[in-house]
Amino acid sequence: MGFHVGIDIGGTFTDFCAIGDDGRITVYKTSTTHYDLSVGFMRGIRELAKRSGFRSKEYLAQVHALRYSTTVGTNALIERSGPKLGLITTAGFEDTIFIGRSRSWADGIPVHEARDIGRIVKPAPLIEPDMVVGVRGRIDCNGRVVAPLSRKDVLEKLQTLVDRGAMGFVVSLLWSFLNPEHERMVKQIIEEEYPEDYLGAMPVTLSCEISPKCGEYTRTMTTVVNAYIHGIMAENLNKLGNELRDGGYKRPLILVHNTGGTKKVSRTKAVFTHNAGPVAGMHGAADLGNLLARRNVVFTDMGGTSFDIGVIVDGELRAHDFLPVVDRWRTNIPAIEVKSIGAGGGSIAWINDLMGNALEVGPRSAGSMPGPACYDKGGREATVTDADLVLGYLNPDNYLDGEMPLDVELSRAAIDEKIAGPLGIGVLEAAYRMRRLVDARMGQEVFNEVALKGHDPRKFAVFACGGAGPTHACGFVPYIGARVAVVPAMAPVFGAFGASTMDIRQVWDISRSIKLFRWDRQAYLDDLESFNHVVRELKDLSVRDLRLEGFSEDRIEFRLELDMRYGSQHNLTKVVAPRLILQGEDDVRELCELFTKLYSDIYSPEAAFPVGGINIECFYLAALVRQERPEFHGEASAGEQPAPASRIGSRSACFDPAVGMVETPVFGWPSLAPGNVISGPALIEAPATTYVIEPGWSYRMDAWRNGVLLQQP
Amino acid sequence: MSFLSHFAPGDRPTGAFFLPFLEGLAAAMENRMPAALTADATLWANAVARAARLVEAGGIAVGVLPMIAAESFGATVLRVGAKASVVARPGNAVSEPWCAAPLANLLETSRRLAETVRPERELAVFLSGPVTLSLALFGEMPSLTHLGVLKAGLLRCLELICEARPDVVFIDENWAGHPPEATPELRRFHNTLKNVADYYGVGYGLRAEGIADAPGAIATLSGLRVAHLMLGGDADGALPDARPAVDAAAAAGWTSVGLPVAAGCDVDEAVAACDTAAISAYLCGAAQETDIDFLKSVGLKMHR
Repeated sequence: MGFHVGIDIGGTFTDFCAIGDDGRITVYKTSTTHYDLSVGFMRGIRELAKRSGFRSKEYLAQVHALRYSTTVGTNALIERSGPKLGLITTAGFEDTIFIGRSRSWADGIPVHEARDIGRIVKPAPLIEPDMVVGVRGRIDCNGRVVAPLSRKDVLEKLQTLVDRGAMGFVVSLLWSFLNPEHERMVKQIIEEEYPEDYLGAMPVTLSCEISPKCGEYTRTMTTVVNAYIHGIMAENLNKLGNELRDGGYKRPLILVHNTGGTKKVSRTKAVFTHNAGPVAGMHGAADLGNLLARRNVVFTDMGGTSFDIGVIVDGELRAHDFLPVVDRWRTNIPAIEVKSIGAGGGSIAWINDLMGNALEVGPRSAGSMPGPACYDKGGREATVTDADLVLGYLNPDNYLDGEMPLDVELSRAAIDEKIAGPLGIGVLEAAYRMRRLVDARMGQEVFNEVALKGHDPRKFAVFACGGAGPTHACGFVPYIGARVAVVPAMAPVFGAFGASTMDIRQVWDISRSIKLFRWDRQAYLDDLESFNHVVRELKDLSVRDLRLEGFSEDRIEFRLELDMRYGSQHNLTKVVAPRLILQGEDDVRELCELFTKLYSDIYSPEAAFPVGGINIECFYLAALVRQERPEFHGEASAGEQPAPASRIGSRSACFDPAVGMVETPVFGWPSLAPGNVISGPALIEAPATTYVIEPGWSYRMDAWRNGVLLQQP
Repeated sequence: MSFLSHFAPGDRPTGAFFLPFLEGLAAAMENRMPAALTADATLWANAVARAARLVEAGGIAVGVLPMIAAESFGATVLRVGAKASVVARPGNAVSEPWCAAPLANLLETSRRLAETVRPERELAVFLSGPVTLSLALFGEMPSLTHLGVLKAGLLRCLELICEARPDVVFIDENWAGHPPEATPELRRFHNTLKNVADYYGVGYGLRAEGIADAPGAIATLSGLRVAHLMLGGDADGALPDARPAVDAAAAAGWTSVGLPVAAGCDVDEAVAACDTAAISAYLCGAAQETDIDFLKSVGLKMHR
């Protein structure tokens, strides 16, 4: 018996999901231990072992793969606990990272804060201005050396940085993605001055290796972020790796990447781990969508701290069209697009006196410590979980399978003190308003992500995941214009579930400008080798890398994506190339037509302008090695009527404060069978979550034990 | 896993263990008064670690006398030798007791010891409890109001201690006579503290000193639903009979019980009482112990 284990660390809970070779799934949720993530990690492993009937050591010895989406790097950025770095850039461009790009000071902060221009605060830079030096030497936009690099100048600037306490170097020179010669020379000089066998040896990170793409700000910031979190991540993950090895785990720890795949720790670039948890969830949603023949999916995950939204079109995860933000920094990593807002079970309700005592919920979260008031860890703020508890939706004795008893009196006291009292309303009314407000915020954000990006919400199935997702699905789904929501069987640990089924995948990208269709001659590209050479270059890189991981070339599947645009445009549209290598004009035409079709779909056919020329600006080659995974088999329907044993009782719950608390039937999810239908109002208690079936909704369990929530017309 | 580290996951520790109080010995080794030792975190941490090495103790216990801890909460305390008494009550608790001596020093000492003494030795930190503090600050058993006043400060102190990641924190209570009723308010207070310790993966226990009728007190205190109990002497320093205490603790559902020993007492009886399958029992110091031979001999007996 072996296991595939996925671990997803969130702001409030750390989720675990283990899939056995026999397809049996074991899940566990525990508080995220922000002071040392490995504590929660090892606690979960022990519990998974216990639930599978093994001792930790025996269990770990049988684990095929531990796939982990970590927030160690993100925490290092938030806490600014990285090393003091020196940046070596081209002379004259020393202020690039401080000037930023457009409204870069608003990157990575919630919309309402970004709008408050008067009070917005620029983030503290990861590299202080006095730690940036410019070196003479220049490469032009065609990759030609127009001024040689001065070794003497580099040495002088290097000494300056060392004297100021640099503990590592980032080298980002102009146009290095076209010609990395100067960057490599700088690295060579540093390594000659401070060889590896010296105590003063310091890591050197080159932008041409981390992010060989156009745009000096984003390229530099991607490299800076990577260098900033690299050391801390290496230290933490090595410690965790040692702990796991001591505990009996014999294989390498695998990290989930925000590009939609996984890689060994030893072959991971730090910057690819940021926000990987929701991406793992999206991967799981795409997989499940394929199983359920739902190719268009809106993935939502309501956890304790945030609400994540991702759109899966035609079964495919999509990378960011724009530049993803890591902490407060815009980067150019090919990350899968996931939007997160501060709305979760731990989101704190507050009274906004600047807005006439308006009730607000989030984005601040009570997190895992102290957590909502009902967690009884000293928290006194009123949170969404407190509201759900007061409204009777949550069972205080069965939260997290009874592992964390909740105190409803503390919830009432917090809501009374912080919300009901100031607003002059009752506690029940206040709790109801809190819930409705957070549902509306989430619903509106989902609508924005779908409809405002050119998709028809009616063609999408909403997947409601996360510990609080099933509790709030009936609340936020109507805002999208959808009447159906699917709550996956693994909803409360869906990020971990997604991680446990992920394949090995990495994306190699490079900026290269190629005119596929020339506006001046109205002709297609004839120099096909200019295109094919770039693809072969990326393919060689990926094959070499994956061979080092032990995979033969015949196991690797490739997928080519291209950033394309019409000749005079600024923004780019990502297109999946139908083939890797172009073999004639027909292939070029096919690619151009594909771009025009996609562009027309998103922006309307009137906006398409092929005669203006069609350019490729960036190549992304994804290399995939599929991993073995157990098959999931559906169960036969047991009929609509739930078995009497599944009705485990009833409790008072409020669906309308004007009516007050009404006795509501409670069902036990483990005792329900495929095909069972339950009409609202009803509550279903499942491991690590509670389904709230509001009046006017019905619940049906499908063959894979997923819940299908349907709003009556 | 060693002994005290079993407390946090809720497991029953197995094997023999002795947790002495060595600050008195450490002060003597440094030729200082105990108060001078605990006034300097660096000295305190270094000296206690040295004393533990000298007597080959498996664990280190650090804390301040419950009454002295009241000083951090705003009370005026008079020290006479190893004893202390409150001479002026503030009527209310200060808002940040963790910033004031002696608790500030205890926090710093805990941090230093957590970094330096493990894994060779386990670490237990003692923090004054709500009953003791209420008696010291308000002159009466804790009411709901008193608990409300104390809660935020005590919670933050515990959190700061837990951040240092000792193996266990004991809430140290000292009252003369019978223990207070395990009221829902007091139980809830302990539950909050226990939840915080649990979040940090730190064991949470209760130390009860000054109790009369140990078996009865053990049963009463079990109503607080704390898993680990460490006993002290009664108000006159007399130690409870080991076997009845162990039996009472097992019957009341405690996961572990610490039996106090001191130079001159019948250690063999206590050691024999620890040898039971009904509960995890171990030996602890009854008070500050300076008899090196005694400490070594008990250590040898328990780690035989």
